[in-house]
Amino acid sequence: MRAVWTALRGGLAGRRVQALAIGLVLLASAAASTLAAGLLVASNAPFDHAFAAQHGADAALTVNARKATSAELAATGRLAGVTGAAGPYPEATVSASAAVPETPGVVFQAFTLAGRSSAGGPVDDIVLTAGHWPTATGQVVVSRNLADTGSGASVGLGVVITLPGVPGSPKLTVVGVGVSVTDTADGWVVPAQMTTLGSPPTEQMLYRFASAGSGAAVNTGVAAVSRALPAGSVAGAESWLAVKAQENQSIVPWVPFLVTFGVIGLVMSVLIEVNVVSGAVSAGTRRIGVLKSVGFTPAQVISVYVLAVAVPGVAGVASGTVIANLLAGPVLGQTSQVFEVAPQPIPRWVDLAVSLALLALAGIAALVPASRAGRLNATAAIATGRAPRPAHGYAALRLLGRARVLPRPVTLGLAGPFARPGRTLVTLAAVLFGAVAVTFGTGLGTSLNRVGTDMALASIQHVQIGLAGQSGQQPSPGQPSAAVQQAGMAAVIRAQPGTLHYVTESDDRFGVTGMAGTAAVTAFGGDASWIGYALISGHWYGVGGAVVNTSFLRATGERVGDTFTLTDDGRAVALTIAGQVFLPGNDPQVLTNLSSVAALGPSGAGPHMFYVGLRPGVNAQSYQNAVFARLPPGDYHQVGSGSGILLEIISGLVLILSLLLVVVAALGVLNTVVLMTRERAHDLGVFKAVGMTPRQAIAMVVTTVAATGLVAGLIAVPAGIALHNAILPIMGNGAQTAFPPGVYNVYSPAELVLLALTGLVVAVVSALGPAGWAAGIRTASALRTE
Amino acid sequence: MDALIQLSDVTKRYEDDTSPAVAHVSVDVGPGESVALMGPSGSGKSTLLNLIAGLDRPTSGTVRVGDVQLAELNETGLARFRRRQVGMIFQFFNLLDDLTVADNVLLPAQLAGVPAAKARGRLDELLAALRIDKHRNAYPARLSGGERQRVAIARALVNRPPLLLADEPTGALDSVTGEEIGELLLDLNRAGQTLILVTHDPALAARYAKRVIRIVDGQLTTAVASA
Repeated sequence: MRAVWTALRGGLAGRRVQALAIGLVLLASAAASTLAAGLLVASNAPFDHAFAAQHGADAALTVNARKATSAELAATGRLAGVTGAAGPYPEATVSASAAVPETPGVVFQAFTLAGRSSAGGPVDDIVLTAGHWPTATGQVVVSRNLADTGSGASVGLGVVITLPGVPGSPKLTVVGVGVSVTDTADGWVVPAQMTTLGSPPTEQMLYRFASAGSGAAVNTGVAAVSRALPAGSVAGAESWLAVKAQENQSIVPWVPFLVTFGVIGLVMSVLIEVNVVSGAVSAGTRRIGVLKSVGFTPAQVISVYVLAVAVPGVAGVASGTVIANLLAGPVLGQTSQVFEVAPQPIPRWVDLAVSLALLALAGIAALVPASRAGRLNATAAIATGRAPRPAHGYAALRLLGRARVLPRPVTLGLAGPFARPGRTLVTLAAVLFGAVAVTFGTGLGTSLNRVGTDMALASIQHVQIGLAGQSGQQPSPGQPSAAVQQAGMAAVIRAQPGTLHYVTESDDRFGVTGMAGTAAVTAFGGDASWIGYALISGHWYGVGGAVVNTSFLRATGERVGDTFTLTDDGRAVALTIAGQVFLPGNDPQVLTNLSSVAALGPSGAGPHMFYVGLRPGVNAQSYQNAVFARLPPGDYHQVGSGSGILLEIISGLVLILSLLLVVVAALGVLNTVVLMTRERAHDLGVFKAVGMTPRQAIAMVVTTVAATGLVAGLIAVPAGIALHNAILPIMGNGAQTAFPPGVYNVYSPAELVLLALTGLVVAVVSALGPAGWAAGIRTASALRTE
Repeated sequence: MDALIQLSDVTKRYEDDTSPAVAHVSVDVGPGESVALMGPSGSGKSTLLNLIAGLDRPTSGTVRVGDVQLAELNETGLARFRRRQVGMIFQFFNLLDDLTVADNVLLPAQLAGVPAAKARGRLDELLAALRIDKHRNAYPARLSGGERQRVAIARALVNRPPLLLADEPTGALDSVTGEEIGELLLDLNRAGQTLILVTHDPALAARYAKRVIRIVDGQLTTAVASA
């Protein structure tokens, strides 16, 4: 074995470029693959971890207390298949307003309260992140989802929540903030508090089932419970899988593209390893002969060449795994925060499994050409001396030699790929995959930017100003009424120079005939087509029409052109679906005109938002400041454009992975050109001896791979676009949405030309180093080369 | 007569070598001369030939060929010098296996940018003169040693260089073929071609060169005129 190591050391020292190429190729592959597999697995980890720790409810049932007694409910906990039950907890959904410091009243239209005497229990163990559990009436623990409203208001400790719809408008002081992994309520009070709410009596029952790994299994459990209770007593049920899907939707959409990059990286690493080891065997023919002549067995020769891949390979895989873990941190950290669990790193077993798989793949890729080395006849190998001459490409050389329009060094270079077609094909494939990754990554980056723009409604320059009396907010005592505020705001906006047009927005939730649950309905008080909502299909609505999101279409089974009915307290309005609008998420959403839904009655507290379109050249911030300066303090609030941090992280990942794969492709070309120039060192000497200048030598070497790069680039563009168009819908499915055409049509003609040249640029840049070596090699030394 | 080649106190030392391959050599070669550089293996004769051809640079001293001081040329300049001023013939031919005979011969002309028609004309002339015309489209591997050396000679002459350098031109050939190649070189010299021949064979040197320069351990020992 010592002899193998000695030979290996010599081999590695003599092939530093190839060793570096293998190391970097595996680094990139390991980074992309570990990141993809890690995110895929670890994206579930925070929820699963919290679900296990908090004994999350497999199903949360809302039961009509008039139809089922407490004893009947308690008995369901002993049913076959039910491994845990908690409740019945009295439950009520009421409207609430909170007096948040420095923010006008925050209103919650549907505030679900549950009466529980403690945070713990056999099911749904609520984790308190602040304060304490209510000890008396008048106290409430709010869900952390509620504590962070997203509009800058924070319903923290000490905030007083008023329940205006409840007789006596009772007040609850926030004494704690808690996290329920399955979101069983927005707030928790002592059971005694629930008797004061006067709502129709409902009870909440939480269950854990022996089998709840699939939707069918959860449904089976829920059905068993429902059968055990009087008919019609179960008013609703929520599966933990639905909650999990919703919580993980921030990561799930990104997994497909990571998998794509991972697969591209894997394929490229295999191709390049085969090329590197084949080249090393070919170029080391004489060395192999010498090793055998001094007593190396075929197995030992194979070991030398496989280890020559393994040594830099292990270093590359280890580095790539570390990089993947560092890159995964910011993404996984976000989901961990949601569940109040420590950030869940990529599981060690994923690191290990991906690393071992990559190294095994590298070993197999090396084994095939290494076996050829093992089989080489020692005498023949020594006699051959240098690398065996290629037996191909003569015809190409002859034909290209007649192309008088091209300088001879160029035609010599262009014929180069035909000399070793196998190596050329592998190099072409490596560049092709790299160029595909660039085309795909470039398109994806632009698509993500457009998604971000569409989600932030940033395609048109406008400002959004929220009134104190928005659907999440209610004027505080002493503040003018919502109508007065609206009129005041409208007057200020109309008078403000720079205003091009404006429109108001009202939000509410209504039932939809044929759909379970409710849809979020946004009603605009005028033409809102200019706001910048991106349409996936159809057109913006007119009178009696609406645009709806993908989630709505999936939930209702409707299509563009169909008519649906919104319902509320026995009133109904029929609307025609004019188009499908880009609003990602699980929540079915409808955008329409306020007049179209007027028959459903007043919408919440009325319009709560003003969208103002600005005249060209008007600075949005200056405009907003000027408007705010003319409004009474507290009558408005600034509306943020939403957090795009995750989008930025993902865009960054796309860029990093694309660059990484381009580097890998470049290393593949570099390796090929190094092999070629080393093999043809003697010929280079001859060329130079008969008058080839250094510049001509560079031209010859560079053109050897330039054509390969150009062809790879030309194929890569349609392939990359096809990949982009295939992966985007899968990502969209993860985000519960289709995408507008603009998210797909991201390649401009100029970009396509540049992308088509990617392969050429990668090839030329990669070849410059070895070409420089070829140009600088001393002719007399080259002529002595074996 | 002005010297075509002038080596002045030329020394060539390879890296890490304690003794120079060529030490303080000064020699002149006139136009139309045929000179044999003769010495045992490792004596430095091929190194001296490489220095004259601009394939290598001296550690010290100067090499002038015609009006050109080789030390003043960069790599591109040396390549252009080789194209126009020097034709080289090697012991093992150094033909490019993947090019046809015609393409091998044409290569220096193509690198020099000689118009294609003119280069073709010269090719025809040389292949006919060297009696290898029928092998024009053959690959070197299919030719005999003598035929390959004729191809190499044709390649060396395609740009009409004033100086022909031959490094053991018959060393890889049988005696009959070697004789033919020697006669060919002699004919060229008779026609005015300056020839420097490296050989370790005294008989060859005596027969085909008018002057023999002996070199041992990198130093000139004697310069004698042949019959």
